[in-house]
Order: sequence, then C-alpha cells, then structure tokens
Amino acid sequence: MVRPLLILIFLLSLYHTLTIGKVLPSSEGISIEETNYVKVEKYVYHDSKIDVLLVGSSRTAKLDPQYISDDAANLGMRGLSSATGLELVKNTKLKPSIVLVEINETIGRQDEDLIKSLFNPFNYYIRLYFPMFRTEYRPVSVFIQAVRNFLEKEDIISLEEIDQQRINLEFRETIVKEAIQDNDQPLSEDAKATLRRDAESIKSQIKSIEDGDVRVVLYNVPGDPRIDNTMKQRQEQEFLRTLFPPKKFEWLPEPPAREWNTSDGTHLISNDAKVFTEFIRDKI
Amino acid sequence: MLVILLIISMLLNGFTSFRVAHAPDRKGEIFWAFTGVTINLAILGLFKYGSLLTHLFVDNLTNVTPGEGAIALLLHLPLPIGISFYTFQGISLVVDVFRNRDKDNSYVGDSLVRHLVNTSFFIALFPQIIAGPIVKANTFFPQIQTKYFKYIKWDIVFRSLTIGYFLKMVVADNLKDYTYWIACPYCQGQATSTNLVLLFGYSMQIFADFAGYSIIAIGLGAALGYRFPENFNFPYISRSIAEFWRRWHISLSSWLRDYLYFPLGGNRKGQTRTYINLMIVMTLGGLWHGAAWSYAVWGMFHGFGLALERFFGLANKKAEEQVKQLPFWQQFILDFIRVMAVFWFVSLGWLLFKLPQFGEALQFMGALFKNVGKPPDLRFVAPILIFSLPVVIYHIPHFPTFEHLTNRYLDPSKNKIAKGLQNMALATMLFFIVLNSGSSNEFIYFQF
Repeated sequence: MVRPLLILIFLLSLYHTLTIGKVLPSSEGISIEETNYVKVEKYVYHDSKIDVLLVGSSRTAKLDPQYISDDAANLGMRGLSSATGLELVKNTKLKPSIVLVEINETIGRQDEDLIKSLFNPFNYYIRLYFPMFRTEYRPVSVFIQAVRNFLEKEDIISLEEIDQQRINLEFRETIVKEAIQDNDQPLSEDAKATLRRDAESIKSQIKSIEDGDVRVVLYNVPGDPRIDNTMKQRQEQEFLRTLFPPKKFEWLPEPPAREWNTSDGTHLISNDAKVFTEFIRDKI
Repeated sequence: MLVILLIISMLLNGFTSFRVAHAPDRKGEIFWAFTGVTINLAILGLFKYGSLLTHLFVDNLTNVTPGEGAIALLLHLPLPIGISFYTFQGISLVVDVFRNRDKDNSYVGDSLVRHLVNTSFFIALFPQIIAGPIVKANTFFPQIQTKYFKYIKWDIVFRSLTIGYFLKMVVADNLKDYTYWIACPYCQGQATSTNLVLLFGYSMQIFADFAGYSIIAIGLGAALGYRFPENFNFPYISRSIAEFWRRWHISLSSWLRDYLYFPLGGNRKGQTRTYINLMIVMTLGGLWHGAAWSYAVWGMFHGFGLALERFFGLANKKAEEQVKQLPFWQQFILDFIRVMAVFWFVSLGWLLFKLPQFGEALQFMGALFKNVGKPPDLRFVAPILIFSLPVVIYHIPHFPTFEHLTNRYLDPSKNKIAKGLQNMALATMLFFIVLNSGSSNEFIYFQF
C-alpha cells in the first residue's frame, strides 16, 4: 500500500514539472464536456486582456475567434448557452472590452454545476497553483493532442477538406426535414413564457456586465435558411427582438443573405463559420 | 416510503426465515417459506413491474382511463433504488433456511430479535445494498461476528478500491461521453467503423461501470471485515455464452441458477425441457434488469444463444477437450475467434441496454451497414480505444490459451517482479483517478 502511494507522489511531481515547464501541449478537450471545461478554465485563469469575447451555444462554439483578433476568445459552449458565459464574465475580475452575446431559443441553458465547481475555493486554488489539475492537462487529452499536433504538422488540411470529411449529406437532409416539420407551427405561449423568463435573467446579467464598462452586442448565428425561415423560427426571432429591443440593446446587423451551409441544419460548416466570424469582425 | 419498504423487507425476511427454521413440522416450514417468497415477489412485482403491466393493460383496453384512481397510482409508482438486489437477497435467506432445515441452521439462532437484527444487517449493509453483489445468506450469515481491526486485510481493501474507482471514474465515466453518440439519429450519419467502435466502447463502459462498482463494494466489505463474492471473472474472454454467464454478474447468474433454473429441473428433464428452462430463466433474468420489454428481449436473445450453443454442442466438455489437443497456435486462433464471436454477440445485446426503444436499436443495426466506405471519425474512435485499453489489458493475461503462463509468472504473491508491476499498475491507476476522472455519472446498474 505504501509503495504505490510513493510511486504516485513521484508521478504527480513529474507531471506537475512537465506542465509548468510547458513541455506538454495543452489540450483543447476531446469530448463536448471537456471542451467546454477547457474553454471556461482558460477564461477564468487568463491573465491578459481579452479584447472581444463571444458567448453562446454550440452555434457560437463553431466560430474561430482568431478571425476577429488575436485577443479575442470564444465561450460558446456545446449544450449550453449565453447564460453560462455571461455568468463567468460576471464572476471574473478581468473583463473583456466587448462581449458578443448569442441570442436565440437556447438562452436559458445554464450549467450551474459548472459555475459552482469552477469557483469552489478548493477547486479554484488547486487549479490556479497546480495547472496539472486543469482539464486542458488531463493526461489522455494531452496525449491525443500531441498525436493530433504531430499529424497536423505532417498533413495540413484545409477547412473545405475538414467539412467534406465530416458532413454526411443524407444525414443532414434527414435532420433538416425533421427540423422543418417541427418548426412548421406558430410559437406556443409556453415557449414565449419560457423565453420571457430566460430573457429577464440574461438582461440582468448584461446589466451587471455593462456596469463594468463593457460593451455588449447581441447577435444570432445563422443556420440552414430552410429552417431559419420556418414559421416558428421567424416568430421566435421577432419575439426575441421585442424582449431585447434594438433601442435599448445593441444588436449586430443582420448577416448578408446567402445560402449558409451547415453540417446538421443548425451548425455552420467550418468555411461558413469563418465567413460569419469575419462579418462579425467587420461590424464591431 | 422507500426506507419503509426496506424495513418491511428486513422484517418480512427475518420473521419468515425464523419461522421456517423453527416450524414444528414440514407443513409449517413450507407455509412460511412460501409466504416469504410470495410476499417478496409481490412487492418486487408491484413496484418494479406494476407500471409495465398496467401500461400493457391500459394500452390494450379502450374503456380504461389511465389518469384515474388505482391505475394512475400504478402507472406512477416510484422504483425504489436497490429493490431488485435486496429482494433477491431476502428470497435467498428464506430459501437457504428452508433448504438447510434438516442441517445445522446455526445462523438463525433461537432469538427472533437477534435474527431480525442480523437480517437487517444482511439486507441493508451499505456497500452492496444498491447494486450488489447479491450476497447469499448461507455465505454471509456465518461471517456476522465481532470484527477486529488487526484482522482487516488492508491490501485487499486498497487494491479493490483503487481498481474499482479506476474502472468507474476513469474508464466508465470517460467512455460515457463518447458512447452517447450511439443514439439515433447521430448513428445514421456515422461510418460503420465508428459505430462498431462506439458499440465496442459501450461494452467496455458497462463492464467498467458495473465491475467497478462490485469491486468497490468488495473493498468496502473487506474494510468492514466481510467477504463478498466476486461478481466478475474476466467475462470478455469467454469462449461461449454459457461461459460468459459463469463470468458476468456471477452473483445474479448463480442466484438464478440455484433458485430458479435448478428448481425448474435444470438440464435433467430432457433436451426440450432444458431449452424451455433456459429461455424462462434468461427472460426473467432480463426482466430483473428493468421493467421494459427490451430487457425481456435481451434476456431471450441470450437464452436463444445459450440454447443454440447447447444444440450444436459448442460449449460442452468434449469440445473443450478436443481443442486442448490442438497445437498452441491453433488453440490460440480458435480461442480468439470464439472469444470475438461471444464478445460481439454480447455487445449486440448491450445495444438494448443503451437504446431501450426497439426502433432505435434497429436503426443502429441498419446504420452498421450504411456508411461502410466512410472513414472512421477519429474524434470518437481514438478516445474510445484509449479509455477501453485498461479493460483489454485487464482481460489479456487471463486469455484462455495463456492463462497458465500468467498464473506461473505473473502471480504477485510468488514473484517479486510481478509484485513490482502490480505496485506500478496501482500507482498509475491512482494517477489517472486523480488527474483524468470523467464527470460523475450514476452507476448504470443503480437503475435495476
């Protein structure tokens, strides 16, 4: 029992040295949850000024902030929404100059456990002083990242090639058809009530952030036009504009009308995500 | 209410088993044993299968309104956690006392109060109450005595807890983030190879989750001075389905064998009756896992596999002896093919655990033949293979063809190098528990 514990202490010390010495590559996360954690931890422990911060759902997660500026960051999280990102901004001292907030039907999805876990004093300080406990340094993820880095050096592939590899047209059409059917109805009163409640919470988060001299800009990421133009989607967007009136809240202009390509009806393919991110850069 | 049910189970089984042991005549013994088993099954039936059977009734009769009175109550009965496990333990107590009535029933004793206390301890002992192993009365009761700290085997406690938590927190909890993508419609867009790896990953996850829990329970039991039965014996190196069931969830399969298959006549009443018995036992074993028809179908699937195997004589001793006569490499190839065949048969069955809706399971099966030429998605494949690796490594030394070599050269109690390797392995597992645990997730078998 003693020997395994001694070996463990040795292994942890070695790993700690390798992480603080930056010998190991940090991972971007290998699962949805892990990717979300890596993003939020990087944000919570960042020590340089962030110029532009994107907060939102998986739609925003597809946008590469590097196309906006080197000091931009993305807190778009798969399965979550702007509410989680805004809560993080609220809880950290170093605020960004501009926060872009994705506003659509996902706004209510907040992960309170994630926030609690991040700011729990034990977790917070152990991750602050021992970076090996951060998600980005999980050994398996680091290993996969190292292999990925090695392969990418060998074979640089374009965004178009990535899209081609990952998109299954037949699958996309099935999903789009289902989504069109689901959205081919008016927005229900229940849905409106939910949006109203979620919007109130987002508004109070925005207010608190704006008090810290942060510019907040609202936007929505386009999806497949066939879904975006359904009755429910259009009514939802109109309703959200009444909840966040452009007179009181700064909205990004509508993106140029074009056939936005998605992988599943909702999420932009890499190439179109780049176009949309550049559009954001030009408008802010 | 759930605690009340547990208390009822303790009182019921303590009282009826005591009455069986002290009945003045045979009629009394039969009466009390029958009463105990029947009430146990009635409680299990009501809480676990009440909703399923009521649905069947309501769905097929048009003049029944589901939202009213007793029907609504039955449809919304809560499923008490661990009920399948502690009910089976209770039945084992009553039946064991009944079977041993002519022998020394020393563990019942002469004091009803003492026996009720012991029964309560037997049923509610915390490490195993929720998800087993299902402890049998005749192996547990003799262990109830004063325990001394100096007799606790700390090396077993440490080893069991380390391996158990590693399997659960590192392997199962990480794999769940990827096996999630087995669900439809995602499965339809994925390559055949990706879907196969996802299915492989789910097999690894369910093993790591359940075996992990059982090993933790064994470790906690050992810390309290109790020995729980082994629940898993490297099931994924089984060369036949019969062997798989001797290695997987041993405490349940041996319970079903002792308290259901043997009483039904086992294999002693002719071929046809044996097949029928196998199907009955496996279907009920399937339903034990959950109140859904998919579990019954899963049980039937295994029952059918066992019957087929028996029909073709694939798992009998004669066939095993013939294999042993072959040269080493031929034995290895044959064993490998058989292990793979059983593994994929079992994995296909797990699909009904992951996708309890038949439609979804069928869609997944269809998707396996859909995108054959598409390259695998490394975002899923790489992590699944890495997180599954410990389970594979855990099984390999016990592969049938070279298990004797493992026993000779890798026994830590006889070999210093093996002991050193074991220490390294335990330290590495702890390292991964500290740094690479997945997000916590309920044990899969908690739902049963």
